Amino acid sequence: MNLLKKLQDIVTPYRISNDPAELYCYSSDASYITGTPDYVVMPCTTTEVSEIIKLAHMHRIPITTRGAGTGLAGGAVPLLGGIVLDMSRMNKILDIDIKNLQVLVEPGLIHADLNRSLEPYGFFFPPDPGSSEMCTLGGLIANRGSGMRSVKYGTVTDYVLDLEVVMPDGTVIQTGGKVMKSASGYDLTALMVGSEGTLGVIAGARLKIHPLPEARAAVLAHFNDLEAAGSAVSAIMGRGLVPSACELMDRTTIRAVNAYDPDLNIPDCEALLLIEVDGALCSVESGAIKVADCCKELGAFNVRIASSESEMKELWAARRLAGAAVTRLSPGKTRVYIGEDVAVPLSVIPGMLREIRTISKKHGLTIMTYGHAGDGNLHTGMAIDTLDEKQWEVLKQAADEIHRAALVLGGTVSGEHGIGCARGMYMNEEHGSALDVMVSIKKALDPYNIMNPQKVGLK
Amino acid sequence: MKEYLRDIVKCVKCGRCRTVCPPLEVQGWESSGPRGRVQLALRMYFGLEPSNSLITSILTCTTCQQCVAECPSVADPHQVTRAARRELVALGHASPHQVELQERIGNTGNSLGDRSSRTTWLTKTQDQGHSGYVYFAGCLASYRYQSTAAATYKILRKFGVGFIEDEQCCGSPLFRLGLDASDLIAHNSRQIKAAGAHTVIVGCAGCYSMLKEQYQGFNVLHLSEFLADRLGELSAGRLDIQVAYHDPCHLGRAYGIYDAPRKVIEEICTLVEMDPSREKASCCGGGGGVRLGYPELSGSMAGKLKENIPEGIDYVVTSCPLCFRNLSDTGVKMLDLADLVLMAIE
Repeated sequence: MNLLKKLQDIVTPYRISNDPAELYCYSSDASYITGTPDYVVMPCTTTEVSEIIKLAHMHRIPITTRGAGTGLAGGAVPLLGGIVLDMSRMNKILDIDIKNLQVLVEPGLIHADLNRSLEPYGFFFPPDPGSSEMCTLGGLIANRGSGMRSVKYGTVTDYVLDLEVVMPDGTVIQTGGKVMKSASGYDLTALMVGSEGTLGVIAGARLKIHPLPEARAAVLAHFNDLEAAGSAVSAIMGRGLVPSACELMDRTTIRAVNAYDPDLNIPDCEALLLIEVDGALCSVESGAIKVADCCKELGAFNVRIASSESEMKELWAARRLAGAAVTRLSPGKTRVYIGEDVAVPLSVIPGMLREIRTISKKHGLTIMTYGHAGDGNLHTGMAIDTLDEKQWEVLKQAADEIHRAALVLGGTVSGEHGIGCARGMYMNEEHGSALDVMVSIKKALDPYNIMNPQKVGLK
Repeated sequence: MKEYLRDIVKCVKCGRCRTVCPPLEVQGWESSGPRGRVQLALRMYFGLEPSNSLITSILTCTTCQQCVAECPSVADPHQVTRAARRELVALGHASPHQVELQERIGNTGNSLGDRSSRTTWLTKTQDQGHSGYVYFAGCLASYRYQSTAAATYKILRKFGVGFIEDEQCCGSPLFRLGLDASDLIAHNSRQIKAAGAHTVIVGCAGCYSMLKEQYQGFNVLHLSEFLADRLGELSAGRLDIQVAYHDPCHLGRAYGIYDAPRKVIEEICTLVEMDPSREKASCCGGGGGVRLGYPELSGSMAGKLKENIPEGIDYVVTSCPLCFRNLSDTGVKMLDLADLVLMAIE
């Protein structure tokens, strides 16, 4: 079989590549996982996606779907070769339906582009990943991503009304509809959200949108003790205050953020809580004061409220890129995304922070800790000399210990980045016999195991 | 690539650069963006045999440096790409357009392969000034936009600025493509020294960055910098026109020259900003040898930039003849900064 010829019958030759250099560029995402495809194809329509998958189904060829390749767990890495579908050209907004509070988009649309398009209407799409400027909505949905504002607004799961999915045999289905709720049948939308391309390819999405809040303010609370900051998170939430974001940054993260944007000049301290409140102007003012007072009571030594739009914009821009910016602090070292996305119950955030500190000391490895503490999601950042094999070994050991510590504390190995193949080995420990159900679903829908094989712990 | 290995491994592959790379926006392939180029440079270090895609990837960078400005981990895809270009040439993989350019400049001393006089824009009565300032016209102004070169020199003569007797290409087109520009640098350096210049004034962003980066022994000023504080001495009148200013990558992002051209323009007429502009200004698509080697891609990038031009303006002003040329070709009504200033004087 001449697969290239058959692919050329489906999409224009310019949008297919099997050049070794191009294949190499598609052999990794933002994680450390690698695997080389045989072909990369850039479809532009659902029909093209469907035809490609029918071909793959017929010839048992693995299909790996990729958005912008910003995933942190190797989800878009073709472990068994086959075809990578680069969805980034399917990037249009098909409909902005303000009356029905929803938009219809293609999967390759960049997250921030959607919000820029919604802003003139006074609306936004609340899930707010740090990679907003570069990640695609298809990838965000497929990985059940969320971001900084999920503490108030929820994760992407809460915003998907309907998905157009190309199933493993090429059939195209709609999983939902335009209605805001439905009790009709199995919730296939929820099944597909977070399925990481193992059950089908998301070719379109109808998403709920939300009016932009009238005002936003951020409270910056500085702490001399990291665990005290962690304890404060649960206390703030317990007092009925619902911030729109509640971010924790440790000393290393603060330094990385300052290095990225020196104008921010955040005071050097053990921990910073960056807590945002949004809503009507009057409620934001009082809410910010309440949060600030609460932080003072809980041991913050320096608390201030930032409300100017430019400062808020700068703060969030720097926070979003803090993970990558850590590389600025250690010449010769590079941030590697591994063990970076655990989430734990709010009450054990201080315990998790303690565990991370212990692991850091044990391995002599600086571990920056930051994240969406308001929902228990802690990101850890480790930088090593990537040319030194021994440092890789230490890094992997530390990451393994972080994952296992989170599980012991009743947490999860991934709060929002997904499992991919970087965390598949923890699925049994985290899910037990529920993993068998996942395996059964996978077998039922994809009997030839062509859709993103060897991901999500589904060997 | 060995000396750049540390720069290469700084990349955390976050993909931030993908969203600002003009060739990637047009082409879509991972190899057409900075992250892909950096990863390919790493593979070159480990011995990957250059393929068509690899060569195209490395040669389609316009050197606009938006990726450098946006990179959170301070990787420098621009430097890495430049090193990869040198490596490809050293490995014998110079593309036909690189070979042709080298021959053309070698034979004629200019990037256009034009055998006519380089100084037709000079009038016979103009003699060398003795101010210590000399004007470096550059190839495009000398051979394609002589009226702009003449306008520039007419303005500069008022300040006693001289010219270079035997100017040749500054070497930027060769240097950007990973080719050897040392003979040109040596030749022009001798000429500048012979003119007794302490400062060289250029009207071209490409020449500016080349003289700044690769030459030594004198100051370099862009025309806009030279005029920003001297415009009052020229008795320039006010023009009843509205213009936008296109920031050339090699003046703006590369050297932070944003205010000087704006100051000159605002003294003369109404400036309406492009969106985006300054640090985030889009690339015209002409630089880095892309217009020469990949004209269709270059044109597509220029076409995309047109979307940034505000409505109702009379001209887009720029201070780089390559940007001028690439945008003019898409039908944009362009004006060089020097021509605008001369209009205001006359």
